[in-house]
Amino acid sequence: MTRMRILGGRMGGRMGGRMIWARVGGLGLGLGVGTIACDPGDAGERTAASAHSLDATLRTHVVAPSSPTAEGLAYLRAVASIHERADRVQGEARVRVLREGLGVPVPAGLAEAEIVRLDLAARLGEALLDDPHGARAARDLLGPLVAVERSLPLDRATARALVVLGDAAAKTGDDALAAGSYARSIEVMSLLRQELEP
Amino acid sequence: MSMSPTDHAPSSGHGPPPADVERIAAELAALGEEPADDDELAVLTTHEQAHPDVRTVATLVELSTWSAPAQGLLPLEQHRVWRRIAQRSPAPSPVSEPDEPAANGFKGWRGLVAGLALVAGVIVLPRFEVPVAPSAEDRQATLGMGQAARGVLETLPGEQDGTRARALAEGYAERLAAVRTGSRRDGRGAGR
Repeated sequence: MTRMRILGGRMGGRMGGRMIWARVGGLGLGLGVGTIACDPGDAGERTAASAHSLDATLRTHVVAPSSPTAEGLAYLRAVASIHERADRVQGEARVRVLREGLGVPVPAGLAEAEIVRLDLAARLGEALLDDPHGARAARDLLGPLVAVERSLPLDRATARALVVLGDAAAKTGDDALAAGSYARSIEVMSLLRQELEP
Repeated sequence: MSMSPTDHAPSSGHGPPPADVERIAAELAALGEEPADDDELAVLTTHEQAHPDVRTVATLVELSTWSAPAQGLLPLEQHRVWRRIAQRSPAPSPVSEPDEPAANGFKGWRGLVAGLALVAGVIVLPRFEVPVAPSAEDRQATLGMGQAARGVLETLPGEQDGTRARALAEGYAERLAAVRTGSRRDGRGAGR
């Protein structure tokens, strides 16, 4: 139930739960096949360089609610305000607003900030991808945040950030990073399924 | 034709040695020829002495088949004799030593350099690998993978952006209020 509190909001969507997870499972199977296809021994010279750097390592952790403080509440409200401001603008203005949101100092001990910031970064990455020349910036932004060396919060925001990173990598021609990011996002969604299932 | 050192002693100039005369006579008889007369033997002797090539060949054959009369020497003395002969020889040994590289072969440093170059190639080349453009199939598979991941993400339960932040803030505010209420209640309880 801890996860449910952190996730918040309504559960459900346009598709039924079983249908959603069937798609995730099918995607995972496709991922396995794709990973095998990217094996250097099979791919030969075509994707030798890409296959060498393909890394789908994933480490996750669950974000537990922190002890509430006035500073923490102020931060979360500030981020909500940032999103509202971003909703009202487009393009470069939205990028500036979202960058401003990432610059808001995080109070000490606010575990929820990890999720909020990741969601903010994912949205900023999406805004950057709207620009034809923004893929590199999006990759530079999200790459360190969801690097394979880091443990990532088991949350929807993580899956979203990984998908955006995959899109940015694909646009910049790094198919290995793209495939690895997509694979990790699918893995996160699979883990979320296991946690959300009764 | 086997000859002993004594058989090839220098000719006297008056004809072949008697042993040669006997051998020639035997060979002619075996062939059914008439024996050689004195004129033929004289021509043979003259011919042998007059042509340097014949003498050279005869000398070479003699040297190649000559065996030194060393049978009576002790092994140590034989070893000294052959060592002395080897020291007198000015020409290098035509056969290479087993551990000596051939003139057209790799020297030691060449082998070392070649080995280092091989190691450097193995270590350095992968670091400078030129990104190979993925095939159209791989590219399409990657793009399809991303499209599918986005599709699943859109249907994933949960909220994002402002809605998510507001929901988190509201839940956080409730918990904070509960904590504050509990603190005040504890404070009043402690004051009673």
